[in-house]
Amino acid sequence: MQRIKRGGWLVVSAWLTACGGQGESSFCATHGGEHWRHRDQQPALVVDYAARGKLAVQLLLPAEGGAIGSDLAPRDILELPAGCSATALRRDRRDGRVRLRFEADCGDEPPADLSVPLLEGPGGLREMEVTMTTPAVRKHFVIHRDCERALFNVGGEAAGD
Amino acid sequence: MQWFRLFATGEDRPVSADSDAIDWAYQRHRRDVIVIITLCYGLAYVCRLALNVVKKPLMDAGIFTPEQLGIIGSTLLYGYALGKFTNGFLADHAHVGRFFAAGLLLSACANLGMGLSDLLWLSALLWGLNGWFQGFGAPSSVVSLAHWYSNHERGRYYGIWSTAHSIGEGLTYLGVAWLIAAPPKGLGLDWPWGFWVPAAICVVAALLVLRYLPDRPRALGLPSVADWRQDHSAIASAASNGSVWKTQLRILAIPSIWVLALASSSMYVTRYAINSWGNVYLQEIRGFDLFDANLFIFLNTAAGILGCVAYGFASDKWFNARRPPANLLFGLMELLPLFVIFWGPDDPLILAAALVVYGFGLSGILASLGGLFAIDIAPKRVAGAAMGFIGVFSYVGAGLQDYISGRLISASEIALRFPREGGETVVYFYDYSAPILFWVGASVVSLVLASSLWRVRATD
Repeated sequence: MQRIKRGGWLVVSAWLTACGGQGESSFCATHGGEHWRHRDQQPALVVDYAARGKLAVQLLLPAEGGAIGSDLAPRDILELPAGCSATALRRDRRDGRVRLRFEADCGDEPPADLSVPLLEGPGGLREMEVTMTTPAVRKHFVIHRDCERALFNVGGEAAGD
Repeated sequence: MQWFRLFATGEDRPVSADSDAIDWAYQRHRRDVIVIITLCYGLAYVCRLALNVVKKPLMDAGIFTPEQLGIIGSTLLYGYALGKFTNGFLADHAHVGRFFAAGLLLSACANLGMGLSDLLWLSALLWGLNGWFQGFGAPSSVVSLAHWYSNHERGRYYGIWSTAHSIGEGLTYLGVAWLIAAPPKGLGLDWPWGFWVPAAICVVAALLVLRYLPDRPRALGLPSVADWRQDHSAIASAASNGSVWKTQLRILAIPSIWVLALASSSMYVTRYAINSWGNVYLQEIRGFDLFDANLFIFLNTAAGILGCVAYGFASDKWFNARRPPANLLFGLMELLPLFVIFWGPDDPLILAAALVVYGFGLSGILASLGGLFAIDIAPKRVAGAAMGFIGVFSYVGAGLQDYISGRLISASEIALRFPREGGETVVYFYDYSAPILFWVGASVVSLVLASSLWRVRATD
């Protein structure tokens, strides 16, 4: 009986001391809540995914970083499946930010997989606030190059509100 | 084989002649039994429900899709259904302290493995085995109650033991959620801790059970509890009658039992849908954080304690022990709040109130479909077999629900990918419209089936 007890405590101790989680950095754990401090200097992506495969996409860039968007095409912001058609990218200013926007129509086959290539490559963005609305749900989060997962519980109103 | 005998109940020993020593031993063991089975069966629940709390972090981390989580979740329920069938027979022959402790330890091992696994087949296997190990607890507790409490007091102690469900669900939906929820509401630990801490809790529970849950009184040299309390039943034991097996088979020929089994199975679809996917829905669609979402689910389970008691009172006092009218009343109390929860105003207070009423109604009607009404309809000497039959049906329904729900949720998936240097971040979007129709529809079917037994009367 004593051996069983000792063995049990040994196993518990081993778990609690040796099997630590491989959590992300403390930056990733806290940045979602602190993002509002510098959100005006960060780009924001707003995707409205309506029913029937229609999408409205906006990329809001800080005024001083407007040059980033000068040579962008819709596919550089959101990669769509082959069956989708997109309007030309329009550029204007809104609330002191540069706004790039386009619409896409994917017809009867709404895409289940969308890709945002803006963080790729050496010239890609480091951080981006994202709001996406589908007929069922709206999600608001931050994507950061140094964080494996999206950061939720972002303080402040979503871009595009 | 020698090792296997460790789990067998001891041989009957000669009864001591010292009545003071017998009284002292009985008082000490009876106190230990009720405290340990209530506390440790409650703690065992934490190892059963941990997956429900970490489902959303697992989905967010891209480790499992909802469909895969549905497969994993369903294996536990199938394992538990199998356990309900087999472990009752085993517990009758076991030293319940060692048998229950073994179940807890094995369940802890399964949870430890779950925290280390990101493979579908391995997680499904571990969780399925966990379902079977979890099935060691209830029969061990019931056998202990039968051996240490006499006929006229067992109901009270059974009621105390029944609170273990709520202790366990509370510990899981609040405690485990607190571990995983982001600060400041929780500790923000990684999802594996949602399995490892319950595993540690179950190891502690196993040690307590091993130390304090005794074998049968006769194996300890004590008289049976009926002799000790002078509380003998006037009815001969069913086991002494050779026709019990035939009578058990006869329940399969009673149409009402089949209808009841289907009604219970449908109601278990909704019950386990809310317990397994409710907190994920509240996070995904309603935007609550992990802690708050689990707090809402806790409210429905807590209200369930009152629902059980209220059902018994209402059906006995208001409907002259007729279950169908009470079934309709509690069934409506279960069904109507579902419309408020899923399609009602977006107000947390209204949502909380709806979940409380839902939990209250659900527990009441479940107590009837899987217990009281079944016992009314079945021949009394084989009430256990009737409940076992309905129990297996119910958990198979619950298991199918987990898989179907996961599959329906997965079918609506939209993935938004962010490729970056060294990997990819993916955020998933789901639509719960189809699974919600399935969950609410199951309750409607259950209520219709239960109401179809309106004219069925209790048998002797």
